[in-house]
This record gives sequence, C-alpha cells and structure tokens, in this order.
Amino acid sequence: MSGAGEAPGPARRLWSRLLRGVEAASAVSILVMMGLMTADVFGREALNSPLPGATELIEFSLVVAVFTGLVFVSWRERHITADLFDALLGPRSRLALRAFGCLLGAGIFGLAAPQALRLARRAAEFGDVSATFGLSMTWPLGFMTVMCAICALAFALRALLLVAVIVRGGDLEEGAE
Amino acid sequence: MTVALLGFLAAFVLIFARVPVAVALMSVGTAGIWMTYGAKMALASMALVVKETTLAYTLTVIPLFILMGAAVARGGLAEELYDAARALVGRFRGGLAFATILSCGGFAAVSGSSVATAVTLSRIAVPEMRRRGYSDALATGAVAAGGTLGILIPPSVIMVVYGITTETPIGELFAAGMIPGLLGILGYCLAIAWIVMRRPASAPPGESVPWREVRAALGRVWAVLLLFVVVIGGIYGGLFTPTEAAGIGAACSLLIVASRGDLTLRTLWEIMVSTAEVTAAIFAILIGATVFAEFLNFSGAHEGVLAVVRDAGLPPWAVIAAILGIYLVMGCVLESLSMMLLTVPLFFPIVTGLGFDPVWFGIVVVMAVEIGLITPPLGMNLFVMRTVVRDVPLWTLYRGVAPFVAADVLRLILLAAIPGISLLLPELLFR
Repeated sequence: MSGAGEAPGPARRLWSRLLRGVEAASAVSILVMMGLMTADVFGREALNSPLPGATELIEFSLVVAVFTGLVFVSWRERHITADLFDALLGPRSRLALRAFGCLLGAGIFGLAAPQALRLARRAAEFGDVSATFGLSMTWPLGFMTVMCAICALAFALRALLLVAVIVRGGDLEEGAE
Repeated sequence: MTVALLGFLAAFVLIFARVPVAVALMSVGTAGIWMTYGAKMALASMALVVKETTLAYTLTVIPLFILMGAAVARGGLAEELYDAARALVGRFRGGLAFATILSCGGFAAVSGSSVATAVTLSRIAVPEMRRRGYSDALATGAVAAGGTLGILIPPSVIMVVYGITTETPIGELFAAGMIPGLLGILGYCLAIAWIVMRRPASAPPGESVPWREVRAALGRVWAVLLLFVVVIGGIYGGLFTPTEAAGIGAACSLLIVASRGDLTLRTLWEIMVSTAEVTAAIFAILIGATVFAEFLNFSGAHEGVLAVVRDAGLPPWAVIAAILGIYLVMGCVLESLSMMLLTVPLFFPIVTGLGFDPVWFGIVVVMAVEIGLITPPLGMNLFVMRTVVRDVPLWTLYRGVAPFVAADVLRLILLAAIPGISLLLPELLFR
C-alpha cells in the first residue's frame, strides 16, 4: 500500500518531492562534512594552512544531515524500536501501537519546534554569530525549527495513515512510502 | 529518587509498547522535568538539548564512522579478509569457523559496527560453511558472535557514543578496546575448538593450502590494513583527532571502493542514504537520551542511589556486579544503543563516584552491551542471521550462539575483575 496514494494528487506530489529533497540534503551534507574534514586536515598537515571556518561549516552540515534525516526516518518509521511483543499481538494491535508511537513523536517534535524558534529569536535578538564567517545563528536554529515542525508533520501523517489502515483493513509495512 | 524510578518505569512501558526509543526517552524526560520543575524549565531544557546535541563539531564523528562502515561493506574487503583467514587457518578442523572469527575481527577494525560486520560476513561465510558440511548451529553461531567484535574493536560507533555522552576521551576508549577485542577473538576461537572437540561432526576436516597461496591471500588484505593504520595510526600518531580520523577514514574507504571500480553513482547514493538514515536514528536517540539524562540529573537519582549503596555498606565490586547483571538481563530484550543510552546517565556518576576508571567502565559497558547482541530472544545479530538463513530454525540459532555467549560472559568477568587488561594501552599511550 502506498501511503502517499491516500493523499490527493498535488499534496502527494509535494510530499514526495519534499521527502526526496530532505533525503538528498541529508546524504549530500554528510558527503560535504567528509570533504570539509579531509580538506581541513590535509591543509593543516600538508600545507600548514587549515581550511578557514571548517569547524562551523561542518557543524552546520551536521545540523542539516540530522534534521533532514529525521524527517524521512520518522515518515518511514525507521526509528529504533523494541518489537519484543510483536509476535504476541494481532496485526491491528501492532498497527495501533505503531500509530500511538507516531502520535507521541508528532507531539514531542511539535513541542520542540516552537522551543527551537524561541532559541532562534533569542539568537537574532542578541546578535549571535558564528566565529569565522559571522553567519547569524538564527539560520541554523531557524532550520531546526522548520525541520522539527516537518518532522512532527511526518509523524502525524504516518499516524493518520496507520489509523486509516486499521479502519479499512490491510497492512502497512515499516519503510513503505 | 521515586520520580526517577517512575521515569524509568514509564520509559520501559513506552519502549515495550513499540514507541520509538528516541520518542519514549524524550517524552518521559520532558514530562519528568515538567512535573518536577514546571513547563518552562522542561521546554527550555529540551530546546537546549536539541541545539547542543546537533550543533556540535565533535559529534560529526558518528556519521563519518557510519559512512566509513557503509563504504567498506560495499568494497569487497570482507571477501578478501575471509579468503586470507581461510588460507591461514582453513587447514584445521573447523577452520572455516576460525576464519570467520578472524575475518570478523579484521572487518570490525574498519567498519565500527557490529551489525555491519554480521550482515557482511554472514553473506560470505554462512553459505560457504553450509556448503562444506558445517552444522547450521556452528555456522550461524560463529558469524553472529564474530559480528559482535565490531562493537569493541576500534573504531566503534557505540564506544564513540559512550565517550561523547560521558565526556570520556575517545582515543583512550579506542586504545582500551584493543586487548579486550583480541581476547574476544581468542575466546571465540576457543569456543569453536571446544564445539569441534565435543562434536567432530559439526565441522569437517580442513584442507591444506600451500604457503605461496597463503602469502598471496594475505597480501590482498592491504586495503583493510591501510585503512586501520590510517585511522588508528593517525589518532595515536597525533596527526588528527578521533573526529578527524572518522572523516579521513570515510574518505579513504570511498577511495578504496572507487579504486576497485565498485563506486557507481547509484552505489554512492545508496551508501549515503543508508548513512543518513542510521545517523538520524542514532541522533534521535542521542537527543532523547540527553533529555532523559537531564531529567535524571534534576531528580537527584544518582545521589539517591549512591546514598543507598553507602548506607547498605555494599562493596564497590558488588555494585559493578549488579550493574553488569542488569545489562545482561536488559541485553536479552533491548537494542544495544538504546540500552546504553538509557542506563549510562544513571550508572556512570555512581561508578565514577565509587572511584572506578571511566575508560574501564566504558569497556565493561560496551562489552556487556555486546553480549546483548547475541543473547536470545532479541539479540540483534540473531535477527541478522534470520534474514540471511531463513531456513535455519530459531532454536538452532540459539543453540549455536550458546558457547559464544559463555565465552563472552567469562571475558566480561575477566575484564571486570582485572581493570589493568583494558587500561594497559591507555596507560602506555596517554597517561
């Protein structure tokens, strides 16, 4: 069963594109992190000239990698779970527990988003900037805010989808799009 | 302390109700602080944890070691290691099982992950052993157990996570893991020898390989040696930090895969996406566990437990024995990273408060967690085996790992009783 198939056409397309986008952003930012780290070490050891601002660029890449990754991991239910009692439960009970987990996820990331926004606002208010490039810390914190909100949305949509499957019957494997 | 106990209870209930471990820990941690100190404190703590757990340079070590492991798993390094080990010890009865353990140890030294080691080697070693008439129990048991070496032999992602959460130097942890890792290889080989001695039918006699071929096979493992020397040698040679070593290791592993013509755009994409997925899942747990640890700090659980220990007049070794007992029981039902992150925030201050070395405790914890990878019913590596050999009954898998679990428990007792084994290399290299 396709989760996105339950949504209307344009919303489905938008969600699919968003997921592909966050997946690509996460993958590329890890590659960027590796490249920056290697260039920095090589520059320092071989040329006596480390890459300026490598540390903060690597930190920003990590933020992108983690928060974009959280969106597709949450949507695909790839979080680490203990399925100890799965064999003892019926298919509907299993789906209900998964839906409950997703709802709780939506709630907690939904709570985290406005808190991250508060940090972003405070950074703007106090003029917090990065050490080398003077980049406002509002940007990474704002990014966290947006991604926490999208992550909450991913969890909520997944929970809705699971509830729909419980009501209509059938199954929805973890990881299914 | 009652609040903390209720928190643990709530976390376990949610985790066993199939709530993602990260979400369970984050929810309970936030709710706990909320109920104790109010909403403002709880939400502010959560926001700070989310920020500080991701906007942190040293934490890039996690995705980069994961990337290194994902790349080497695609690079054919495991096949070369297995061929070399088979040429070296394949002449003995049970030689392929010995070779499996040796190649798992070698692969662990460049992959940093138990599951990656078990998945990769299981696809190579299990079919070969079954084709040669090895018993299913020995074939699957050797791979499942050998896979656990990935968690202890450096570089190890779990060790990195322990180091970060407890602020214990990762370089010292890596050094401390080497001798216990080698002891693990020795213990598993002794377990195989014991199995073969008791039941000669479980492993056929080996075939002798000419020394010329042995030398040639050993010569082909240069890539593994190179990667290990670059990463570990770089750290201890003072060239770079463990975080930088992860970046260099990841770049080298991708270059090795590329040099063999195995790195297409599709392969690179698959490696990167799997790395991103594991990274996000680990960071989610890291965030959840840090919120939960904040809650434990606020609740004063550590001081409470320490006071109970002191009032009861328990000797320190009894506390360690109790902690290890808890880990062994939890290992039967919980995944390794979750188990460690759930408990270390509580146990670490108690153990260091009793005067134990944090590096030694890290090794003992990682070792105890490692055993959980192969203890029934929920050992992660047993499930890896199930996906590779679907026709082998679960009971055969359980029977197969039993001698290896026994070897592990003996090693754990040895490491716990004699801290000098783990601390020898850190003392020589760092102190």
